[in-house]
Amino acid sequence: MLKIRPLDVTLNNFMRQNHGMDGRADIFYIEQVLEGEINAFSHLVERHKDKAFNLALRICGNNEEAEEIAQDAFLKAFRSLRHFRKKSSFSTWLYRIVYNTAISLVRTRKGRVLSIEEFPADAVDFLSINRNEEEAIEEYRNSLVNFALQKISDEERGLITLYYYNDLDIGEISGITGIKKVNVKVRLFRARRKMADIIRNVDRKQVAYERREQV
Amino acid sequence: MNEENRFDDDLLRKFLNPGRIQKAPEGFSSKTMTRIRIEVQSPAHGLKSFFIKNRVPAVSVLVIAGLFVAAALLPSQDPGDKISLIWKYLQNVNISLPQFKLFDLPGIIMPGWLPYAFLMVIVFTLFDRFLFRIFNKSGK
Repeated sequence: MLKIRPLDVTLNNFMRQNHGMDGRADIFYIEQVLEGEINAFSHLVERHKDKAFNLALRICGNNEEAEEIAQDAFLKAFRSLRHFRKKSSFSTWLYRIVYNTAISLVRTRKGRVLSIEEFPADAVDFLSINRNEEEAIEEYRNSLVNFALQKISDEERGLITLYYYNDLDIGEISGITGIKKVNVKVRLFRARRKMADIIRNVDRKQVAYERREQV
Repeated sequence: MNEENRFDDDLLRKFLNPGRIQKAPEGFSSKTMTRIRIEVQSPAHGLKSFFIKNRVPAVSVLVIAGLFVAAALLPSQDPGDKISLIWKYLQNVNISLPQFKLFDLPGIIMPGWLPYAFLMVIVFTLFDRFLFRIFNKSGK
């Protein structure tokens, strides 16, 4: 399905991916680094660190490993900068490195991280005296998403993250993961279905719980 | 995307969106740049970087040095083995260009084409650099 985004979102994405708030394109800093200005690389790190870290985190599942993976990816990107082909965007190229590094790490792990069978909290647990309802809902959704992400495979987590968090299209995801476009669509469909079922299941239980409480 | 898939997609968009990404931890940029600077400052990196940037002349110099060593070590008499046959053949390659001596080494006769080979390596290296700059500029 063609992802039709509102024009302002498309422009914002372009600006975010290719230009920073200072208006300079990634390619400007890449050329500076290649000319010997090592410190120029810090602009690229600053610009792309959140999405790189988020991608690593969603795949590997913990903060410490995600930080290590993201740092390793930036280091690898720095070493290979002279091989960067300017046809693709730097962010896409970087995400490929992050994705491959993260997937390699999780595959070498001895034994899977134990996932919790049931979503451990009720929505009401996120409401506290010090927190408003909006923040509580936000935290509930985040926890539910993390729970659902742990239920799908490492590769599916990567695809979901790249599609929804990094806001990339099928072609870009295919380029990053090395999976053919048709297979990306199929695996994304399956991952989407699994996650949606988990989320609906938890939400349904939550609705049933709230109804019981009201009685 | 079919109807069911669209519902799934809508549901996931409610829960997952770019505005909700997990931010990198405090100090991530400085830690990353520190690792990069350490690597750049290491002597191994400098040497490796030099050879990577100048791989064409580096390989050429190695090949030429190897030829000089071969010229020094290979016997001038022909014992009949394959290397000597090849060497004899190379020695006998005739060129119509003027021959000149690079330098005199005792007991060593340099083939006449060797200085030209050396010159061609330098010319090709410079040409390669020139073309790289041209195509690199037009790729911007």
